[in-house]
This record gives sequence, structure tokens and C-alpha cells, in this order.
Amino acid sequence: MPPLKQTLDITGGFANPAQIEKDLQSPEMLARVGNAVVMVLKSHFIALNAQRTHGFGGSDGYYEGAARGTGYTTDLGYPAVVVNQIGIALRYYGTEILPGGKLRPKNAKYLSIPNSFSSALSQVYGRSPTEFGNLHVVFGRRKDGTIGPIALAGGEGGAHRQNHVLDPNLGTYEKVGEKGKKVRVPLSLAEQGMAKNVHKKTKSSEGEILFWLVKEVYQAPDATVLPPIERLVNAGREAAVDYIAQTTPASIVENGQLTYTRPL
Amino acid sequence: MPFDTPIDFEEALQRRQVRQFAPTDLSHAELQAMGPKIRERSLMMARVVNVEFGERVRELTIKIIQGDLTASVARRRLSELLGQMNYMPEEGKARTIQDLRSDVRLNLIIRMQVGLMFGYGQWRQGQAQSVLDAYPCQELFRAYPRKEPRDWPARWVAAGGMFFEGSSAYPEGRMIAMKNTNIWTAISAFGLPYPPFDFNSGMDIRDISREESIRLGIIREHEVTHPQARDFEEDTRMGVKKLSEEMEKVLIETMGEGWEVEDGILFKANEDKIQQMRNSQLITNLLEEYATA
Repeated sequence: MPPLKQTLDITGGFANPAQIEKDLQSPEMLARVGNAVVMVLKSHFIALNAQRTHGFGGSDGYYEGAARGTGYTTDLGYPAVVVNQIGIALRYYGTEILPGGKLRPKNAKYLSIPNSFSSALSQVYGRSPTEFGNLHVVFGRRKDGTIGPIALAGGEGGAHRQNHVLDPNLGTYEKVGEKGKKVRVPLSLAEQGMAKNVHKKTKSSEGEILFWLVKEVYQAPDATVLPPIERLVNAGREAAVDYIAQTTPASIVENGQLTYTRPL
Repeated sequence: MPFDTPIDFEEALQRRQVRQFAPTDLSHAELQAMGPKIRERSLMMARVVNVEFGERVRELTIKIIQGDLTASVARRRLSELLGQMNYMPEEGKARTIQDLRSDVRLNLIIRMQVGLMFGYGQWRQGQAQSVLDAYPCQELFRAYPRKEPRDWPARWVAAGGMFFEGSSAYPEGRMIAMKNTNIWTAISAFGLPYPPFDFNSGMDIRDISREESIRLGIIREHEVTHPQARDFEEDTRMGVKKLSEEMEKVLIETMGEGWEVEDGILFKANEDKIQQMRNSQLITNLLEEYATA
């Protein structure tokens, strides 16, 4: 994801450019600016966390995670703010920055989208279909006119959560067939401890659609995920000027004449 | 390693990455009784004694903080691991918070580990002298809503905190104090000076500027807040009274070269440092007793 970059030009506002050049390289100055921008971002994420909630209840804590995971780095020689939360950039830029302009599955054929009208939405949201033990594939006509899988529905008695799922990485590879093609032979349920699984029924009924299956998703950019860039820039500028102002004179008088006044 | 120089967020998080997982069968209350340094160094989860599980938590937590994994995927992977380990909860504890495979327990483990790592990262960055000069105080406030919020003003008062005027979610007022004072570790259930201050807590901190701190009368005009030295690399020790011989062996293997267990005390073999710490702890205890008396 492309980073957002902004340049602050504050050197013209001070009397001693050489001193400013030195101050701009100071780790303390970079820390001060980085901290100022982090404060604005964190405050913004905290507000978003309160505003953006599920349809079925409170916040899922997504923006809480963003607020807690925001920090700065000076690795690049300038203060760069990092938000360690998956999906922030995708929300901000939308899927338009992805190849093809849409989000597609990496290791699966379909993306699963929780059905927002499901009676078990609160139990489905944030989970993978692999966490449910008895889902059925629903076939139907897709947007492109072809017939194929379009949804996953609850099985007999409604969908069941299973605490443990098969690990696709476990098993052995054996050569089969005339060409000796290698095929993975998974471990049995008992070998993986599945025999002791406890299943938990969800609120869903039999046949109720829990997930929609789609091959790609478009997400529009959302500029409100971050505060206005001007606000971030201003916070950084104010912090830089505040810091540098400590080392430079507020005004210079030469030959009885006021030749410099530090800008406010 | 100086502690008054700025540090990168990623670097701060890496400090946590080097921590080892210390398996323990101690309850949370027993863990609380132990020194905070070892808690910072080790990923402890009350009554989790499986080294492999602990290591997986550590790996997944690091992936989450690096932005490579979501918490829900991490929970699923831990659940898969427990399945392979044939984990079964104690009788009558299935699907409760004491059931390690329950969503609520796994979510709690992940949220706490990630939260503490991020909390440490933000705290460590705030220790730059330039930041402390500009923002010498901080405010404890409800940042994230919870279904059953704790009575934080009561805990604040019990820790010796004061309330200040201004907009606050609490009728008692704003909870503000100088950074790097003992109140922050006193209000924490983990004895750490950064959030989260308790399990699933929705409280966070925000910086208070020097001007406002002076106006509120918390600091004097030229008063300076000094960076705090919390040395995670310092040799440390841990009392684990319930450690069985088998667990001792596993623990030493897990902690790596240089660690030893003697009389139930896990320590890194550097006796000078340990003695120094013991003396330091003794002095701290005496001072506390004196203050209490």
C-alpha cells in the first residue's frame, strides 16, 4: 500500500538556517513530531471506534486496535507514522489500488461475506466458514449469468461451531496413479483429536444462508478513516516549530533595527 | 542502552519479541504477587503450562503486531493447535473462561498480549525527553466502551490520585498525573505503567501539555519529567513455587542457555546481578514498610 507523504517546510521561518538543518536531524525533534502526529491519529481512531458499530451491537474493536497499534518510526530519517492494523490502508484507499481494482482471495476460490440478515450474524461475523462444521453449499445464478456456488447455509438443525478444525498442513504426501503424482493424505479426525470435539449450535436454522460466496469484492475508498491530512501536517508543523523555537532567538536586533521576528 | 533517547515503534515492539514464554500453572492472583519485570519479560498466561501453546501465542502475537495477521485468524490457529494437542478443559469448565479453547479465553489471551506489546511500544516512545518536556503529564480516560466498566475513579483514589477540572466521563473529574510517577503502576493489575491496566480494560491514556499541566497545578513551571529506565534486558528472577521437576526441565529448555532453577527460583546465571536486584528489592520493601508505618 502506498504511504501518504507530506513535506513540512519550516526552515524559512527561522533566523539561523544552519541551526535548523542540524535540529531537523535531531532524533529528539523527530520523536516530538512523530509523537504529535500519533496523538492526532490515535484520537481520531478512538472517535471512529465509538461511531462505527456492528448492526447487531457494539463495536468490534477494530479501530481500538488501530488506536493501540499506532506509533512512529524514524528509520527513514524523518518521522513516519505506522498504524499496525490490517485493513486500514485498504479502507482508506479502497480496492482501487489493488491489481485489477478488486479484492480477490489468495488461497481459496471464494471470499466469504457474512450475511447481514442472518439471525446468527453475531456468531458468524469475524469468523471463517471453516469454523463451522455443517455448512452446505448453495448453488444459484451468479452476477455473470453462470451457475455455481453462491452461498453457504446452515446444515441440519442449523450451523454448528466446531472448536477444532482440521489442520490442512498436517498429513503426508504419497505418490499415486500412473504418473506418480504426489497427493496429500491428511491425518484422520481421530489422529488430529477431532473425536473429542465439542460442537456448539448457532442461532441459525437449517438452510439459512450464513455466508455469501463471491469471487471478488470492490470497496470504495473512505477518506474519513484518517483525519484530514492538513490536520496531521499542522500537528507535525506545530511540534517541529515548538521544538526548534527553543534553540533559536525570538527576534534579532542589528544596529538598533529589528531585522527578524520569529513567526507565530 | 540509554533510555532517554527516542526509539522506533518497531524497535520497541522488537524488545517484546525477544521475550520468552514462561509456562506457569500459577493463578492470576499468584502471578500478580510476582515482580512486574518478569511479567514483562515473559508471556504468562495463568494456568497455561504447555510450552508449545505458549510459543505459538508468542509467534502469532508478533504477526498481529507486525500487521501480518488478524486476531480472528490467530484465534483459529490456536484453536487448531489445541485440537491437535487433544486439549480438554477440566470437568465442569467447558465453554467457560477457564476453558482454553473457548473463544472468550482465546480472545482474551490474544487481546492482552497484543495490547501489552502495543502499550509498551507507545510508552517506550513517549520516554523521549523532547516528548516528556512538551507533555509531562497524562490523563487516564475511558477510550473504548465496555459492557461492564470498572470503577476506575475508586481505583485512582485508592492509588493516591487526584481529580481535576474539565470535561470528563466521570463526575469526579479528570484523572491526570505526571508521567513516570508510581500511580500508573499502582492502578495497573499487572504492575505496568502502560495500558491495558486490567483485563479487557477500555481505559487508555492521552498526553497533557506542559501549559495545561502548569495551569492545573500538577507541575511547576520549570519542573522536568525525566525518562524512566525500565531495563528489559536486566537479569531477573522468578519464583515458581509449584514448579515440578519435569516443568523445571521444560522451562530451562524453553528459556534457553544461561537459565537455572534453584529452590524454585528461575534465574539467569549471573549472581552479581541477582544479588544486586535482591538488595534493590530489599530496600524497596523496607521503604514501602516505612511509608506504610
